[in-house]
Amino acid sequence: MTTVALAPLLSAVLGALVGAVSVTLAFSLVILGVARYADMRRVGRMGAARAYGAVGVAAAVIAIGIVAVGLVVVTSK
Amino acid sequence: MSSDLILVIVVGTALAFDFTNGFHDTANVVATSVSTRALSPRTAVAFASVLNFVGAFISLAVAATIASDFVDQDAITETVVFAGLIGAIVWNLLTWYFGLPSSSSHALIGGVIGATLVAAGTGAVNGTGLVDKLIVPALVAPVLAFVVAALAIVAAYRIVGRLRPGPVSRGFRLGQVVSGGLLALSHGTNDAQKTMGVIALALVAHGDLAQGSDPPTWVVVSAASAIALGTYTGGWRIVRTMGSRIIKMDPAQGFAAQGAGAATILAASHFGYPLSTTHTISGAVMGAGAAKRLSAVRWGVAGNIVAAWVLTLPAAGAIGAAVYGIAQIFGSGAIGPVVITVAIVVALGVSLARRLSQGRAITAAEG
Repeated sequence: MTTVALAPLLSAVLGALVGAVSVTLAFSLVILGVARYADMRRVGRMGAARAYGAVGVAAAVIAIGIVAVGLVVVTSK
Repeated sequence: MSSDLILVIVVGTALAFDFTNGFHDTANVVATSVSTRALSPRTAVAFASVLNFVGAFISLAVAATIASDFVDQDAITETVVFAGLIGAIVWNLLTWYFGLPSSSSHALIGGVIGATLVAAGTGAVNGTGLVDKLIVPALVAPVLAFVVAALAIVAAYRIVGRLRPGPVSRGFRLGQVVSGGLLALSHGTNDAQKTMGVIALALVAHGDLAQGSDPPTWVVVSAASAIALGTYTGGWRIVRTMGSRIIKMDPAQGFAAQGAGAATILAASHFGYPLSTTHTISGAVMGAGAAKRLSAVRWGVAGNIVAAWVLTLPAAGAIGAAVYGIAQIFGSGAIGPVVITVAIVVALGVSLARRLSQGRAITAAEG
């Protein structure tokens, strides 16, 4: 009777789930921020444009950060 | 002397397997980018090739699993490794010829296990390692990729669903350059290591490497080069199957599928699980499609692919076992592997020549 080593398997499952979903969420926010920034600028609502721009930049930083952390974890033993 | 010759043949065969792995498997990685027009086929293949090369250097956990977790290293000879490799290569070429994705990883492990069973009996196969590191991850990975891609695309649609489609498509196409790159990187990380592990197994059998040691640098560099070259050279039949026959995708789905596939393979590589990118990306593609509309996925094609997966382990194992048996007819020296290698090269040459001549005849008739 063999028992499956669950701890590494669950860590891999959790890592994949959190990594992929959070990067997709963050990147979607980048697209939302950029698209709304352009829309708001076009209609002259500069305050809203700046807010959406900030959301886009913050989301881009988060997306890049998650990818970078993921790669560092994978490359470390 | 005889042992040295077998080792040379094994290393050459392992690198040939790595090449066919790239040729057969890695195109799956670029299919999603090509299908959504995020990248041109030529650019996508070149990009994937470079990132496969880079990916091969970032971890050695999977190589360690292949070298030590499935079979008893004391029972392995160079001829067993050779027979396992031939089993995997023949199965890869058969499934490539018929345009069916399978799993190079499972073909390789199946081939080595089949040859080991004939050479040393069931006691030399580590059942716990197989269940822990191969069978359970093989079942979990496609389901995980499916669920992750489905969750990711649902989240993405909730955020960008009310935006104009133009900027959204352009944005996700741009994102696919990164997600496709990560998928290629993850493929290189996981798949090139399988070849490294097999060469390490042969080096241990030959007495050149201590059990439990990492593969030498020349093994890492040559495996990375072989898979990158294989990626660059071909696999277009599989690209067509994966990219458009399973599902038509929009760029957001492509991004979600690639991100889910890359995250699953990279996480598995970190823990030393030898996964198939074909399994994983297929699961992710279907998850991204099914989350939008169940009928968008061509389940019949998906069923054919699953059938090929189920066959891979036993079929490659049977071929590996048969090749070992044939090699033993010629004794335990190098004659068996040499005869089999020459026979396969001749068969491939004849098959290629016939295929080329048939291609010309069809063109002339149509013209």
